[in-house]
Amino acid sequence: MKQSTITFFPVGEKNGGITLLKLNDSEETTLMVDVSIEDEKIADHCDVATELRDRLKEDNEGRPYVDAFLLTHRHQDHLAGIQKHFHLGPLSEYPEAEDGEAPKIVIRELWSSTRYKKRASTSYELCEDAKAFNREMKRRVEAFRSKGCIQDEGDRATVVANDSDEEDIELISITRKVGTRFSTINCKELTPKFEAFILGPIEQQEDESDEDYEKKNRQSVILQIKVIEGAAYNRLLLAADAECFVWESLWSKYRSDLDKLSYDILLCPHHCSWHSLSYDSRSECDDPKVCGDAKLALSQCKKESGCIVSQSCVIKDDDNDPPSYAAKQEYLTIVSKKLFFCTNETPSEKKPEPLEFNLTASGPQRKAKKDKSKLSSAALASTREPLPHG
Amino acid sequence: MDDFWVQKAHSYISSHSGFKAVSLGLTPDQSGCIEISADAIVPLPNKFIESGVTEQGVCESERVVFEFTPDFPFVAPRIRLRDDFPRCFPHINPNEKCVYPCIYDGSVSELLQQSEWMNAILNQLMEWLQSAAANSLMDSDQGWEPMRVDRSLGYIEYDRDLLLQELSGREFIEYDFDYSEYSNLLYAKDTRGVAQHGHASKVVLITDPCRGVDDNYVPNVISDLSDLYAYASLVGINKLEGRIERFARGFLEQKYIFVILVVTRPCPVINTKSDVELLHFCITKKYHIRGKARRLSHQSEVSMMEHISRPSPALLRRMSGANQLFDNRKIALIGCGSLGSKIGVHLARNGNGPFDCVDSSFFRPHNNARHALTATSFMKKAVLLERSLNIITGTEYKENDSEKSKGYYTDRLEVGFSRTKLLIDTTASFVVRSRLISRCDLPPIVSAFLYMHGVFGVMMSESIDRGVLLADLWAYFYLLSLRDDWVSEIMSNDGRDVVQIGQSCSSNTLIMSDAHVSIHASSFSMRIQKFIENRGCDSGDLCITRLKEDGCLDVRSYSVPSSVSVNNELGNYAWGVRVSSSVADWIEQASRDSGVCETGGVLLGSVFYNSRTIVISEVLPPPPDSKSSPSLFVLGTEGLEELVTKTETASYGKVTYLGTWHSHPQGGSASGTDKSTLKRLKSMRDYEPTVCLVWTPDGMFLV
Repeated sequence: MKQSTITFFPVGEKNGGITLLKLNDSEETTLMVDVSIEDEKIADHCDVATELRDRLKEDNEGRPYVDAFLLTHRHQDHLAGIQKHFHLGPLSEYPEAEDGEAPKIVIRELWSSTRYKKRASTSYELCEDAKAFNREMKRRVEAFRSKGCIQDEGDRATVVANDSDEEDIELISITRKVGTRFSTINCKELTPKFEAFILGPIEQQEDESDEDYEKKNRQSVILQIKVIEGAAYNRLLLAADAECFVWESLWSKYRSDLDKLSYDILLCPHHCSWHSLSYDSRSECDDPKVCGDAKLALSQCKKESGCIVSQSCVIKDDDNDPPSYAAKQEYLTIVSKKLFFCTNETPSEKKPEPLEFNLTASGPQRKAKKDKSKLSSAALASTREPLPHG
Repeated sequence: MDDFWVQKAHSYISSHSGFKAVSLGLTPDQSGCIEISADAIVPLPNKFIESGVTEQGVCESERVVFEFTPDFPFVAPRIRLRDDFPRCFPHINPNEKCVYPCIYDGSVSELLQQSEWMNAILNQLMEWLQSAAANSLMDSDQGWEPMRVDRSLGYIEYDRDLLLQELSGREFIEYDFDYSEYSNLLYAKDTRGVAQHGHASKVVLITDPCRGVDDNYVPNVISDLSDLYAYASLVGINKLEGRIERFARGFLEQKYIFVILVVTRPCPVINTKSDVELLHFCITKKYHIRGKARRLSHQSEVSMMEHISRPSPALLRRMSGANQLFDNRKIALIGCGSLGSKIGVHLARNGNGPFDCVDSSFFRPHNNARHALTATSFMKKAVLLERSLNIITGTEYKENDSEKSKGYYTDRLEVGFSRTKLLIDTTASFVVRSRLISRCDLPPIVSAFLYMHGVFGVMMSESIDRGVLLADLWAYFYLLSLRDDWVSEIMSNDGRDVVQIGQSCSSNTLIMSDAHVSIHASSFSMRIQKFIENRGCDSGDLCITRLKEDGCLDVRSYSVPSSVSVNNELGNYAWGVRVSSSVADWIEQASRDSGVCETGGVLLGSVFYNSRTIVISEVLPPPPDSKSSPSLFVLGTEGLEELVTKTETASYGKVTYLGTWHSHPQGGSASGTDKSTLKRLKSMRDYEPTVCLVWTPDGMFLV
């Protein structure tokens, strides 16, 4: 039977975020979380742009699309390639693919925190992809504002806001508040299949400075998604780049309602960064300590079936962070070695492939390996070298 | 076996990322078969990763054997799992000693012919094992996997829908069946009480109406009566033993008892639209004495039977993809020659019917050249076709030859059509056309015929409300000769109304292949099917098909506007006069544009003598020398003769000058001038059909 799937794609040497959730409803609704497609191929093998497109459906005009795209925060490694691979702008301006280029991916509904409004400045730098994303989000929001109703696919937007954000009454019907649940994607009600709870960005805390609150990682959108299959379900905790303070705060907030933090799959925060688990710097502190509450917030793993995914470059036993080897060791106290995955090590460091899980009634299950047509590989291989003839 | 291919298959398995520990030896056994074994790396759901085995017993590493026969690569290798692989899953035959998974919804050998070659099979196997590990082999999208019948004792034929309908709300029913034995094969058939050639028997159909949906897949390991009782109990049918014992006591002489268990599933059974699974068993009776009563031994052998649907319109609709029909009234086929028989067979195979066939001619040897059927004895084509169509649709055939014998060459078409929803005329007979046009008690008519050695085909369909009648369609067809080069070509081929294939005496039987007739008939029958499924057309439909030299068919179709009937003020005009709505609209607009002054013009159209019908299909504007005032309109003549001649020539006389029209902007009845003009015009026209039409703001009438 066709299962819902979640795919964590391998990332470049600088880490990154690129995840695709594909539901097994009749329309195979897709939710993409962040994008990280740099120009260089990963480990010479995985063509992420092609792997992503292979998993997307095309609309009646032959355009690949995602039903919704969530940008968790505005760092380049979560936005890389958005201008190159996605269509930003009205659908009426969708460009013809140039020779040799794949058609751009249509985003039917764009999800963002309220930070799309914040302009770049010397104290708040934005990469070009982030600026382009913000322009697109503004275009969609303004289109809604002028039209006063939910727009057509390709113009739709959803804003994630918390209590610290200034309330915009006009946008109330396209705003989702942190601390609430929803079950729609691209205006489709998916109640028997999909449910999401917005854990972050949590509102500014009493002891938190404005400067800390405004940091991009601090503003990460964190989702707990429930994918339902009959009487069973799988919970996905997509932790973005949230760091220790956020997890400690979330523990404080939900310690008596642990259901909100539980997961079958945790996309571990900030590419397995030590700073999601500790306030202490490993390079500056002699005896860095794990923050117990932050770790507890990230430990609500479903017994036996839960697993943790680090979407990062290879985790080596060195001082690099992220990914941090020490952080991985902490996560290995939550799940067994067999249930901890690093995208760039799976199935092998030499030849990483998309890490894909079926979300079955028995819990997450790695997708079986399928090999491509040898003939087709042979054909491609034949084109990669000049072939002299005498 | 060619070593090259097995070596290649071995290299595919060895290099596939889902397999390891591939066996090395490639030595064929005595029958030339070679086995390659490998360990499949099965991705288990996370919760079973630590233990390495799922609740059902699927392991993280499963030994798989590929059995290659000498026919490889034309025949795919058979895939075998370990003997103790859990047999609780669907898509496995639990009765076989070894476990052979059914990995693909289709022929695996066909899969092997794809460009992925062995990888297509290996990927499919990996997917199957992955689903087995997640216990998700039952795919509700694909449907409920019915109980496997790999070793069936025979076939059981009945109408599934009918039996289920009769079982509705009841616990069981008994049916008269008839069975025959062919060597080791049984064939049981629902006889509906009519004794046939085999042995009489009965079938017990049993369910538990209170049970509801049973979503527990239980593999078929039934081999004797005790197994059957246990299985029935699992699916909630607890009274089976009592029923069977009672039945067995009542029919001691019978060798077999046929049982059908009826179980409701959570989703439609694969390849059906129904969520009801019917499980067919045959019990070979074996008695043992217990006290005075003879009781069936629980060791009585039980085998499965395969269901065969009775021929029925519903079965044919399922197979052809045709939609449910809106009623069961008949389809009349007037003309049972080559074109009519082919259209009839196409429609019957779509599950249409019943049919009423009308044709007075006999099937003769030369008809074998193009007819859809063949006759083994001298018989009327109508009888041959009607009987065959009823066999195809499984409809009971009651021959009423007297009705068929009434021909249509005479001026009478005496068949009653009161219970007919559609009348299809393929006679190419103008006598029939005249009779059909003249009758007003008919269902919608479709006429189809071929021209020019089968190069052209024409099909015309009346609208469902009969707002567009056959006469309107013909008039429109004739009018097209002025505008459409195909119709012009057809008309130029022979100026006379001679259609070159048909059943009439005057029609020529031409040299034309069966394929010529078939290609047009296929296209026509598809249009007729659409007509039936859409409950007719809102407007008239004219379709012209043209067979190109390369064997392809070009099609042009026209939507024919409706017509309105016009009468004189007394309502007793001797001819039926119909005015095309496009002409009526044109007249209305011209009259209103003319304001208080009268205006008028020339009416063109077609005359159908024998059915006393005139259709006005075109109007010419008033010649420049016409005069107009509030009380008078004088139709001029400048250029008129040239225009009319041109029209007559181009249409081979089929579109002709029929008379005049003029307006009465203030209303009012025909004036004395109008009446004398009509009289004069009739005289000038030697009393050929002539009309003078008057437009008033309240409507049109004839002088």
